[in-house]
Amino acid sequence: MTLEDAKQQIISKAKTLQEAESLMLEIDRAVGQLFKDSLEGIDPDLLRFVNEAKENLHDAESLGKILSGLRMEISNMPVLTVSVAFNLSRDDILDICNWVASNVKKRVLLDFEFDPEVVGGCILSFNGVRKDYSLNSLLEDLCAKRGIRKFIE
Amino acid sequence: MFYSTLIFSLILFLVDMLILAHVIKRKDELDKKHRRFDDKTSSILMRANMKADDIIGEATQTSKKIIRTLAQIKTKTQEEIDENVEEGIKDTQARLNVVLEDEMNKLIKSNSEDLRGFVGELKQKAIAENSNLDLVIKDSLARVIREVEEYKKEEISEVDASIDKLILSISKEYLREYVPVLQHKKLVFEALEKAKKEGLFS
Repeated sequence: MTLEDAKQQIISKAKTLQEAESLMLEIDRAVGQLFKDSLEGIDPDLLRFVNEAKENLHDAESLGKILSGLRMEISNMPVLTVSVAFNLSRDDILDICNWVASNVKKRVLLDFEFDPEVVGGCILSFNGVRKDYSLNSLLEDLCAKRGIRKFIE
Repeated sequence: MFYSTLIFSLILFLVDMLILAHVIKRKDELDKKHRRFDDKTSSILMRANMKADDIIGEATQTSKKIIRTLAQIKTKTQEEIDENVEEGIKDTQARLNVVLEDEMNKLIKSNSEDLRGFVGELKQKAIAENSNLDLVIKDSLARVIREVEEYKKEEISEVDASIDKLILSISKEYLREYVPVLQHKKLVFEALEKAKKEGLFS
């Protein structure tokens, strides 16, 4: 496995913003232990990456720079915020993450937000753009066009 | 001596008595005079008072008579003046009517053609004014009807908006409470598909 493969494996572990934050904490911990003989309790994928890097690099300082670069790459990943009005299960989150991984070409982190004002569906925010895909906007449109009563009938 | 003294005393007594009698008599006379004088004086005063009363009564009667006479004269004079003025007005009016009639007859005779034209023009103007008035009334009526219709529309529109808001609010509550989670999840995926089509992720 190349160093790049190991890096991609680590990055692919972070599907949600929460996971990315945990991973960045792990990287910070690993950087703190670089000058020790052993890296105890570090995430196995991250440990694999560190070992891979150690083979090419001879000093801890260079290794630290590589880890900081990895951290930076994760923190710069775009975030897709999904606002919903119901509690998502772990499976729901996983399904959505898989859908995003299959349908969005670049790597993105998903951030799930509970918003009681959302009426069915969700509101999506990405790259500074916020779009209401909930039924709320549909109902508002219908109301504005005075067709809500026909729609209900 | 004793007797002489006694006699002298008696004589003196008698003289005194005579003097006293004279004095009394004189006093009576004076009293009588005085009484007569008083009677006379009071009689004169009484007569004078009576005379004065008569004079005052007569003067009062005369004054009343004069005032009554003056009031009658005033009323009569006023009536006469009013009568004269009324007669004067009637007379002047009659004369004025005669003059006007004469003048009108003259005018009609001399300018009968002009007058007919003038009357015709007046008629035309009156007809035009009348039709203008009709138009104004029709316009006003149409404007009022239009305003009422607009007001009705506005009111209905406001009521509609309120009903729509209410329906919207109820619909939202219903969807939040009663749509099952599975349906919500399906809607999330539909939203993601729509966002992809709209190019949100590119």
